[in-house]
Amino acid sequence: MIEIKNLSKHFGDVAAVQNVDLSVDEGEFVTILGPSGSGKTTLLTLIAGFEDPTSGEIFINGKNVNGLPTNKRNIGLVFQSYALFPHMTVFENVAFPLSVRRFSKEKIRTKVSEALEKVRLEAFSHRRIHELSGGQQQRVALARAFVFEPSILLLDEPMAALDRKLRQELQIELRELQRSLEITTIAVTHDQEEALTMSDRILILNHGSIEQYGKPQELYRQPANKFVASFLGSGNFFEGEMKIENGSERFICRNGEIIECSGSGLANHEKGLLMIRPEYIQLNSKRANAAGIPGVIKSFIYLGSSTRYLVEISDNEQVLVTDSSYDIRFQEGDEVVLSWDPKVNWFLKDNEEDKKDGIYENAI
Amino acid sequence: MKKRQTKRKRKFHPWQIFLSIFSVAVVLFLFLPIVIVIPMSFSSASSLQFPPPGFSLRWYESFFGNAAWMEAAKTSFIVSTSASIIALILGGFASYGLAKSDFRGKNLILGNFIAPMIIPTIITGVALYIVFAQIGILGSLPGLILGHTLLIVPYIVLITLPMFESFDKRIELAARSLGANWLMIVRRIIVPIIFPSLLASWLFAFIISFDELIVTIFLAGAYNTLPKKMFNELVLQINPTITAISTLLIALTAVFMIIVAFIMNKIAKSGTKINIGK
Repeated sequence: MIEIKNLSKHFGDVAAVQNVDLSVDEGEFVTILGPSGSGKTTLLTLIAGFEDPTSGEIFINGKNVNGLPTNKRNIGLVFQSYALFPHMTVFENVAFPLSVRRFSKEKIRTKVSEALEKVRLEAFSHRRIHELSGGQQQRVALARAFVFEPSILLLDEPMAALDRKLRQELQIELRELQRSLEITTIAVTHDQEEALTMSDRILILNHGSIEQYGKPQELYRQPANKFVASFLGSGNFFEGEMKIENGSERFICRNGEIIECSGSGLANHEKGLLMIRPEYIQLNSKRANAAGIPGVIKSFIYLGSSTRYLVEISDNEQVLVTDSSYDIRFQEGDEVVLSWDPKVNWFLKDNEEDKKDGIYENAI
Repeated sequence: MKKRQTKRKRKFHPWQIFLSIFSVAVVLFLFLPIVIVIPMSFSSASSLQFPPPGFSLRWYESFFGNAAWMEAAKTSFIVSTSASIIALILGGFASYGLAKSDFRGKNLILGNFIAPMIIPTIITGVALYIVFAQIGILGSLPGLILGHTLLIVPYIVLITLPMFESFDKRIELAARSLGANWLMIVRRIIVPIIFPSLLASWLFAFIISFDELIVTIFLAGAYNTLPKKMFNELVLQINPTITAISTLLIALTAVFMIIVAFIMNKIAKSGTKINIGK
């Protein structure tokens, strides 16, 4: 269990981490997700104790660890580069944390072989590190980090050095292992897919501050702001204004389109953004007389699992649509109609901060 | 077509021919005077002659059978072994500190450790002579060891610094996170990993100290090291025993340098292996 209270870290004038509050439950898997320079690695460094915070407190299992050196924090850490000891065998690497804790030889042997069994490397215990593949090295690093039953497990971009296919396999494997060990885990990554796959909760960090903290589906479906919405997947954003008459909500888009909705959270006359994920939108041919917003296919990209269409709905306004049908249903220039289930409507308040970050406009 | 290509390959540019001849000449110029000593040491003649008139081991016998020579050899081994071990410890920590920190004037500190290599040895000799005389360790064995230590620390620092600088700091952090304290990290992680480079720098420093003459003349007082005794002998008379000692020193140096080259080669190769995981 980890409790972080109002934590800040400044390097000179630069605030790498600002007023972060975070609580991680026993056995939970939390991912800190953010772009590079968001302060996610600094946050991990502070929890590990490699750096001291400028202000704020960190509690591990209810104990304030401020000022406690790393080697006394009982933390299992997996580095992006694995940082295995090159002069030791797999067995010796995994045995290291036990032998510095002065476990008996007998106990070390049983614990190491248990750990190696859990990461399916029993047969490799006498190999040298450089004789292992990247994926195997990663699993050794993992075994070494949990073999001494640390209070928490910290993972710094644990999959970054692996290729995509292996990464996807290991993500699921790591998740299952973490569940079976019931060990509280904090991982840092910039890979949104990895965060969604592995985490119980995700913390989105930007410029050193928390943008949102919640379950993956909350963050994906109900992002707190445009940054979160754009960072976790892609989205279409319609600017507009809310009109509430006799309790019925109508969102008037800038292009004049009117979207009937309810429970938007916006007040009457309040400006806002309507977010729709590309895969929630259905495309129909205009000839089928379907209801919805008319548009013209500008371009499309075939992605294998789906086809991405860029649809122009008015001058300078384009919508991204993901269609996972077998066929490539439309060609450039086809007239189409866009529609979606109203429950996928998600409204964001007009936020000046988001506009400053403007780079997150959707683009095909 | 194929024939033509191979022919072209074999044809050297006149400049290349000149370069090869020049290189061979340089090597001969450097090595011939040294190599010539070896056959002369097995000579049966009582004076220095080349080519030697006959084979004998009498000059080796005269070296090993002479108590004064043996005493000098013993002093040399004591001085060089102690100085190189002290220099290895001091220089090793200096390198570790320099590699890990980043501060203003770091290069100045580095310059300080390298200085004894750059300052003319005779100046170091004179300076140490004056200081040692004042503090009363001139002509003592500890004084001599101290002088040698000063001279060979630069070699230790220069060889080990790049090794410490290229040492993956995350390995140290990982060890720390796994519960190891600083002493355990030094003993069980850092030293074993950089052991080859430590050994190479120690061998190198040992040889430099073993060959040292100038500072030794200033500081040794009544003590004789091998180079000092050889020099003194040469001043008085030309004794072929010196060729036997020279041959032994050449052999010792060659063996050490081959080991150093072998280790350095190994380090260069394993360096790429260790980095595979990144």
